[in-house]
Amino acid sequence: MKKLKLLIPLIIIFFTAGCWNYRELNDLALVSAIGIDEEDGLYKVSVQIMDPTQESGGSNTSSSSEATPIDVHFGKGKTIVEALNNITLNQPKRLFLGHTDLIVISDTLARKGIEDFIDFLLRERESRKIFPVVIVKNAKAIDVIKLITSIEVISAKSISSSLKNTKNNNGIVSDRLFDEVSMCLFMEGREATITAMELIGSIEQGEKKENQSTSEPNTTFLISGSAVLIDDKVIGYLPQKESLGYTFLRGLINTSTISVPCDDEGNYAGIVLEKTKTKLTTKIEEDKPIGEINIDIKAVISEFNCNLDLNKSRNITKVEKATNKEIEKLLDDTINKVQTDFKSDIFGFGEYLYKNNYKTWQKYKKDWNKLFSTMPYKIKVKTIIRNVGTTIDSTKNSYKKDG
Amino acid sequence: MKTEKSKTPLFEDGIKIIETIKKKTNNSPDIIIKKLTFSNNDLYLVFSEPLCDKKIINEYILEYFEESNIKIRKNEIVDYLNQNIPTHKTTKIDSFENLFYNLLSGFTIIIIDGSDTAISIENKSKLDSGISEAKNEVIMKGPKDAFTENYESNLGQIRRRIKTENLWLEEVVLGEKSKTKVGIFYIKDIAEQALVDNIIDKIGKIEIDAIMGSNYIIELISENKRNVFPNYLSTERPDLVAMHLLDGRIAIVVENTPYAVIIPALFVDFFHSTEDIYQKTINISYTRIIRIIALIITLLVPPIYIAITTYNHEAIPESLLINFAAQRSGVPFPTIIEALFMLVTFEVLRETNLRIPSTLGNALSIVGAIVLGDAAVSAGIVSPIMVIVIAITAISGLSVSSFDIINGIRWWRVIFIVAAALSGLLGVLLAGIAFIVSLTSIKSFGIPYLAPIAPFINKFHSDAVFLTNKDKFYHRSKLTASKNPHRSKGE
Amino acid sequence: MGKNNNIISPFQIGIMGFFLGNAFFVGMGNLNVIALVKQDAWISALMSIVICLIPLAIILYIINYQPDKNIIEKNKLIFGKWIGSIINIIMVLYIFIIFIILIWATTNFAIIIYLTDTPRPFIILLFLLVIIYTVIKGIETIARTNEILFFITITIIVIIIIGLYQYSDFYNVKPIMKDGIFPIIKGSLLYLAYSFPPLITLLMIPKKMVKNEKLFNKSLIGGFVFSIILIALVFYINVSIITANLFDLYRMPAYYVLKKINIADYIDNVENFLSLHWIIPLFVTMTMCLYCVSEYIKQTFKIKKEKYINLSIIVIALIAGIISNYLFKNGIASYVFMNNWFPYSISLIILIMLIITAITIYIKKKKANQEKNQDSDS
Repeated sequence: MKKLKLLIPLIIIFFTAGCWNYRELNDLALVSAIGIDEEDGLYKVSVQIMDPTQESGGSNTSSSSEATPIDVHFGKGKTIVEALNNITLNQPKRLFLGHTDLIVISDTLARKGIEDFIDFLLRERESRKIFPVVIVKNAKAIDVIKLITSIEVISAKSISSSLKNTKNNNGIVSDRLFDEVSMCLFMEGREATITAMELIGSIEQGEKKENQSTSEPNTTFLISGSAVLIDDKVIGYLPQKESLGYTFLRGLINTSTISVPCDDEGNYAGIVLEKTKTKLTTKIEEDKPIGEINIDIKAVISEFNCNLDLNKSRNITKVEKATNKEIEKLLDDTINKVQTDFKSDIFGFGEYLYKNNYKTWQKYKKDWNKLFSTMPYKIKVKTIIRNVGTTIDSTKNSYKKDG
Repeated sequence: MKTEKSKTPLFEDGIKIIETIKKKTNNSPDIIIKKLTFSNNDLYLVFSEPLCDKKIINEYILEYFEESNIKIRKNEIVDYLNQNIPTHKTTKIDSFENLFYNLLSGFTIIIIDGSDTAISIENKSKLDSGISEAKNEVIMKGPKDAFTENYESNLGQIRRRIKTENLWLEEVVLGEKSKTKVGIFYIKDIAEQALVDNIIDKIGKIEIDAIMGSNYIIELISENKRNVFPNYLSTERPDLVAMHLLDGRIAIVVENTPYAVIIPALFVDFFHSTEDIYQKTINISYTRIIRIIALIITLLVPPIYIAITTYNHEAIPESLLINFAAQRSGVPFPTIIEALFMLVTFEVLRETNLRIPSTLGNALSIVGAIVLGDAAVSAGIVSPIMVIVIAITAISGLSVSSFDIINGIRWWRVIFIVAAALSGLLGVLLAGIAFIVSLTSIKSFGIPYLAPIAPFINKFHSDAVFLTNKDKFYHRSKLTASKNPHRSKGE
Repeated sequence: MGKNNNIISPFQIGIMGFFLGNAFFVGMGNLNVIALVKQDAWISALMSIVICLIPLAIILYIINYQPDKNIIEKNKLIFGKWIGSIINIIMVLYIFIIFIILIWATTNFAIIIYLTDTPRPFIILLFLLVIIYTVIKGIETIARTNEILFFITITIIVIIIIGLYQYSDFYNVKPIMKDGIFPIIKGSLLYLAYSFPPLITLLMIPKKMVKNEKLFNKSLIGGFVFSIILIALVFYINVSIITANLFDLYRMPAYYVLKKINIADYIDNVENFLSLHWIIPLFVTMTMCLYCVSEYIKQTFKIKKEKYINLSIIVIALIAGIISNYLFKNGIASYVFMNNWFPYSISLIILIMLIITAITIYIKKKKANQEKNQDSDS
């Protein structure tokens, strides 16, 4: 009897503790993407909800060919939380942000400043901070959310995989994750950039299921460079080529490909860059900052359409020199464009001063962007070609030799 | 019982003794009384027919009395017979308690008219099936003989494996009504004498009316009565008993039980199986690690599954997310009810499998496992992944080598599942801490249960998990045999 | 009590030193150190390895005096019966306060990360259930459980380091020591003010209980230094991955850093499993505090029956739980308290008490020596 008296409070404790947090998996609406727009002075937040029964086509349910794998709902409010709350008014489940794969921000809103609303994303406990952030240039965020893609049926996964692969293999994308972006926002001496994308094709067709079933979809997305910010406002966009240059200068390149002209006849060699090491320094000479950039590259020749005989090592040196020139030109263009068009130090020259020469930084930090826009710089690129693939000589050259 | 109760001495008059016997056993038809004459004296042969080996009675005792013509004086008959009857064991009896004990143990009693001492002759019949194969602890490459219900044959099976004179045996008779013989084996120069004395003392103090099995004794003398984990090893293989005796442990053999009990037993012993002795040393470490992983699987997989689908949804791996969500969408019950339902079904199936006679057993278990599981999934009562989770759990649970510890783990499995269903991953952690606390608080006859892991004694790790050749052949376990840690002089 | 000798090994004492030093750093203490020195927090922590030897030496000195008594009896011996009792009451009161603060910290951690909607009293009850169960079993069980928890913690930490080192960039930790060395020393002292107080619970274990007494000193110092190294490592890794500004912003930066772990592109989303290892030092410290308070009650009121000892443990724990429910209104109030009040009103006073005790012991020893010399002369 005594044991029963002990057991009852234990049972009560056990059955009530934590029951407030009990949520079955199918009571939740799994949000895979969030889009943030502005409409009539209010935030319009749209969410892309995954519909698991359409996904797996399991033995329990019969999937109709009309239904789409995602559902899109939106809500409006003065804050993001209020807007998300309003979404429950028109759909049956509770939103779960723990598996969000993408945040899309519209261009107009980003130009007004993103710090106004990113606080929610940092403060919210459920969302993991490592989803990619994109700014969509030529459409509203809700249009991207509504997009239905082929191969990977949930467009959020499609876009985020594309971003990841681009970052690893292409190099146009540098800061793709939200926490990387927020690190840049708070960093002293460097401005932030956010990946930009566009929607290509007809926007209305993008939300229909037929978009998925044709071999060439009517609407698709394209990653088109980066957005440049000053403080927290977007002021312009870098096209794809300059974005590649930006990634070079930040040292975030993983693998990338460059077409290098190897002779004057307009023939190109395709060089795959395997390992890149960037050193960015800012020196102070006569009270003025000067930027110095040193890049070491290890590359591989993947395609060689020139008339040079690769058996000779001086030809390889020629290719290396051509690569150096090409990359230096790219970086030069990039910094020039940023200096003239945007006047925003996104490369981190100021950050270098902050981290290595703190006292000098205190002197210059007030007008650093202005100083940056007129700052001279020196670029030095050194390429070493380590491998030429499985054939030695170029096809063109050996064809000419025999023929 | 070593305490001597007051003994009633025998009468001198033989007929009176016979009448007392008849009265006390209510003229039991299986007690035969035969009258003989020897040296002009009346002798009465009393024995219990089912318990005695009739061959000895016929061929030795009766033959002897038939042929003897010796005349001896009355008061020397007892000693003469004690020395000369051609049987291997005779004892003198001088009290009624002893007489009844011997009579009902299968001894033949010779009551001599005119003397207050009787003689008992040992001729028990073998009421068992003979030494047979071990049924429950089968190994592939070792001896297959097992203990039987015959006490002497069990003693013999142990003694013939350890032929040293230091293997000492203490015998105690327990149980007021059952008067079961209990033998305690230990090797004198290896086992801890304090422990042995303590146990013999405690066993001597047991007062109970019957000892039905060897585990009765352990449960009556051990300190932790409320813990679900066993602190003894029970085995039906004499070679395992011999191994443990050489490690400094104590073996207890009980009459009429084909299981011997080895104490003290630690938690790591339940992950060693008899197979370890007969396989290559280095391969054994691998199987032990598999067993430990199986233990972790059986305790942790269902709670973690329940926790991540009901409380901590962000922990679900991305690739499985849609899968889980789709599978749960058709099921009407909450996850915890599903889990408990599957668990109970599985336990019921297991119990049924143990009880049913083997002719029906196989078919029923196949019906139960496959059809029930599959049909339940198709009917939409449980989700397929829950069936898989519970199946993995149950099978891993059976991989631990001893039956006693599986019963302990069943409790904790349910506690873990309930904790996960009520507080998610945090509940799993707290239940895990409670599990560790309950394990470390047990002391198996003075040795901490989780030694040598906690307290972490480096030198004692010799064969807890990883076995080396040196430990298997040359060292003894230092926890129980600290007096004599080396097996032989050569190393 | 001869039965109680040699039941705790010095390795277990070292482990206890390790866990006790880590306790206040889960969402409560580290933030103030970070706010002070930002990205040099790891240098502050490493510097406190040198400074920590002073309070550790004082504690070891007190423990080594009269090794077969615990602090309750020692105080009565050192200061005389009345003053000793008063000092005992103050010390136990401080341990009780630390217990209450830790309960609040643990439930706060659990609420933020695991169970967001559950009301606080039930989480308190959940934790108290396991803590009471552990303390009822006795100090031996506590020590052995700590060993196993230590192994689990080390495994999880190794997994975290393997998963995170690829994201760690030394560039993010710069600028080093941009404000000079004084803020760093200040940060170092602040660090000690948070990690040192739980160590007084070790005074309740008489040294005779530990076998192999020579290793005792080394183990305790080793365990505590190891905990400092671990926290310095945590600071370094966190700052090098998410930069000092974000580190300052987040409430529990160690949790958010874990979100980045992505091993073999498959094992991700593991932060909920891996952050469990922060609960373990809190749990260990709480059991030690409860054990100390219950030992004091047991000795002062001379309770012998086991039933009443268990009852007293339950009652003390429940009172602490109820008080800690109303302790801080919200997280901000707790930061204000930890920043402004804790180092001075709690850590400093505990340190002063220990210094006074040590000095009194020294004086007593000197007097005893003088008397012995006088006796041997005459």
